[in-house]
Amino acid sequence: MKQIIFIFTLLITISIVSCKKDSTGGSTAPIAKTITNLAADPGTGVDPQTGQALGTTNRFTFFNFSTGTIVPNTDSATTKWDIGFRGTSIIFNSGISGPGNAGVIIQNAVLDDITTAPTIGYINDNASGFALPVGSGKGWYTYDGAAMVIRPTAGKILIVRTADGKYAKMEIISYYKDAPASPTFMIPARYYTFRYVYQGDGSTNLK
Amino acid sequence: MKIYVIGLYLIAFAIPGIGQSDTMFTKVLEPVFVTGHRDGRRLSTLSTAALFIPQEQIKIMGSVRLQQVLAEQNGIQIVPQVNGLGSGIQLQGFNPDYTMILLDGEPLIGRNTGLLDLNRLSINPIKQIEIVKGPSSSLYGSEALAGVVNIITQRSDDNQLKASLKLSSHQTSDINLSAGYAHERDNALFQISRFATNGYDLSPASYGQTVSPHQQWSLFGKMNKAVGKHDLSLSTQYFIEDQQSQYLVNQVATQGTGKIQNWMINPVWKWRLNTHLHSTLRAYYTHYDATATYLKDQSTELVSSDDFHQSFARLEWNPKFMISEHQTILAGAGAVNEEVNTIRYGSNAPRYQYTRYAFAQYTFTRRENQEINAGFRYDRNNVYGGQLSPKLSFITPLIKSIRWNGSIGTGFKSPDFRQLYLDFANAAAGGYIVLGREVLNDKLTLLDHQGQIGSYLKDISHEAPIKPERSVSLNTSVKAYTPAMNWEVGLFYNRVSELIETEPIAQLNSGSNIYSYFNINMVKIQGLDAQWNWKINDDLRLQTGYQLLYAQDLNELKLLHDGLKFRRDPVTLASIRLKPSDYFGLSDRSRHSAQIKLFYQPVESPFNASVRVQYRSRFGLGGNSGLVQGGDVFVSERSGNDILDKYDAFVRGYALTHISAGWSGFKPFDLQLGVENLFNKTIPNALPSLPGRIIYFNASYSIAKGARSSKANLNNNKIF
Repeated sequence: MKQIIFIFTLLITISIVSCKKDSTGGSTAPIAKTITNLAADPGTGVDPQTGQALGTTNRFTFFNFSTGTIVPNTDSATTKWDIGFRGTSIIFNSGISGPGNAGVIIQNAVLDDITTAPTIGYINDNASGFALPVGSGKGWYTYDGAAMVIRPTAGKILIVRTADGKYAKMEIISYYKDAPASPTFMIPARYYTFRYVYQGDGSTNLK
Repeated sequence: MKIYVIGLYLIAFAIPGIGQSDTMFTKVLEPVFVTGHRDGRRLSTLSTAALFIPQEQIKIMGSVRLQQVLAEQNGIQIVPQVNGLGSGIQLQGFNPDYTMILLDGEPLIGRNTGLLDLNRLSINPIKQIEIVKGPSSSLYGSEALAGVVNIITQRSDDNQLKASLKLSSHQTSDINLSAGYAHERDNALFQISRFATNGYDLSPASYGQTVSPHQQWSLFGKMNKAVGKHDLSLSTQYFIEDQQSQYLVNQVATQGTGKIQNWMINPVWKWRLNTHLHSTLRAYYTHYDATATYLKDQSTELVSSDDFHQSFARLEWNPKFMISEHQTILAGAGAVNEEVNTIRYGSNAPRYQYTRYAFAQYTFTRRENQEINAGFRYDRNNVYGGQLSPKLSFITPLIKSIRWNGSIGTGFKSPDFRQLYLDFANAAAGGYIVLGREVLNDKLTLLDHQGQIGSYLKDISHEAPIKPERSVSLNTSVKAYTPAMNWEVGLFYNRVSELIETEPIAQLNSGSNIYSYFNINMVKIQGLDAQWNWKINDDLRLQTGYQLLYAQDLNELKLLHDGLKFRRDPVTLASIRLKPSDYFGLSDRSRHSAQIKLFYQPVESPFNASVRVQYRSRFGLGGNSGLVQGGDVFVSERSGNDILDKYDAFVRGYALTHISAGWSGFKPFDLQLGVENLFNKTIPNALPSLPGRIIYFNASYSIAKGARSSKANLNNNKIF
């Protein structure tokens, strides 16, 4: 009997807690979007000798989560962009990269798991390194040396604070043009496909 | 009866000490197994899991090369080596470099980045092959972690001359000439053989052949002399191989020439002092050289060159104390000096490893088929320190002819020369660097002074020195031997820790990483194996085998249990959380493998034949096991999650069928015709080591003159 009461109490508590969570979340529902084929300095081709990209400009492609559009490079010194892509490198508008207050937390999860953005713990691009570490298995991707293919590591969710302090969660799903399910090194690389959920009302609600 | 007595004499001669056994007369037709005890032991009474391949079976199979013989055994798969250079044997789910390969009890060397090319061995002078499954470090030390394959060469039992010729697909030829001498207890055998093949090409679109043409010569000699209580033997072998290859080195078409040379000498002195003490002193020296140069196609410009020299010297003393009818102690002490010299280690300075060791194994035999073995070995090495490897095993009768045996033991594998001394910079593929642990500190300091290091990814100042990989293993099986049938069902479990893997430690300014070797991983390899052999009648024998295998990375398994492993939805590409049950296991391992072999060998007929089918279920190919150049390579990974899960891509399961037929009606000729891989199964993008259909013709001519009939020996070695 005691056990049943205990479980009953537990259930009620859980339901109250979850109700609370709902009610204290943001007032507006966040927007979900998928961006395909964002060109991250793809260059003009590939050197057959080294496999390195040719004709690259060495410039980042800037992106704004709020508008869901690419920001021109001329605005690099502004807070109009949140995140920048160049090859496998990803920067955030903060610290050594830009004047904004952007940052990132990497979480091992699926996108739906993240319902609330933390308010602290965001890492900036600073002198000791980029917020998103570079290298296979360290940041967002895994490099397969045998197949010579970059694969976004499944379950790497980036929780982002934007340049102007709003919150978003994103998942990179492909590095290759048109996001094939099993890419080969013959397919043009440096084309990002990612999905994200952006909360524009300043709250941490990402549900 | 005369033949029977002769057979008895031969076995007693070959294995000093077994003549002590009072069960000798009733069991003489059973194969005698040497490896587990370093002396003769009947297969059915072994307390450890083992396989036995007699000469007669090898002969009916018609195989000329060792790899094919091993490929058809239960619990063994031929798998490509990590770097794609050839293939080796996977025993009970372990990679090839975890199985020690012995020739007459002495280890073969020349593991090219972990792999031993089994095709270096012609099987012609082979008397039998013994395979011990499970760790045998308690007797054999490092490398015997998965088990031991011991190739026992023949002794001449006649004055005889033998010539054989085998011709097979891909313009492959194998010629053997051997001469034997036998007089009373002395004998000698010499053999010269030549093997040549044009290789084959499974992917004609890409540059170069899948297997390049190569030619081998081998000279083998073995002498045994008995003087009173002393047996002296001396064996020596010289091997040379020339290769012609075409590779793309950094996308440049090259013409390569390679040469491998290997020689060994092995004197052994056995002294039976009295009925209680036998002593064996064995020395072994072997040297291995491999060199290769790659010139740009149609030019003399050097693109790449490689050389690798290794030597191995061992002295071992084996006393055996027969305390009483029931108790025996086998002991040993020895020293190994190894040297490797290669340009891969940066400088031309030779690198050394010294190992001193001692072992002892106590056997208590209560009665027939009931015994306990307890043993240990201690190895002391100049690089990795001391290692103690204990092992305990038992066998006991259950009911009727059914016996139960089990063992618990540990195994270890020392860090190899590459993991200690490699100094490799890949200029082409982004300029990454791999450094062995012994050269790591000096090299990092140098790179730091040169200002090449951008950032450190791992603090190595507090890192413990590299340790050997270690395993703890449990094996148990139930087996029954009757004249018409034998079967065995066994379970095995291995937990391997301190597995050595590469990990990035620093990043160069160029963005490329510097890697070194660390004790990182833990895996468990477990499964079931079963065998059932049936002598249908005097002429027909059926052999079957099955293995169930689970090989899993324990660190990854923990992440799965914690909900930290994911996959991608094949359509939306969104991440989905994986369940522990979604984990398939390590790549290159099939969950199921099986063989069925039928041997037809009538006693009074010159005809013999065999049909053999081997099957393996689907398997994955992991990160670096891809070995085909270009975009055609098969890749299992779909999610970048570093594990093989059931949503990844798999190489489909397949079966191979082999047939052979032999005729010895035209004495002294022996003729044989056979087909390996009858249905021409190939998987070019995943298993280039699997050639298509191979048709072969084998002819041998032998004349023997002497008191002993070799037929007696053959009869004793029937399939089981």
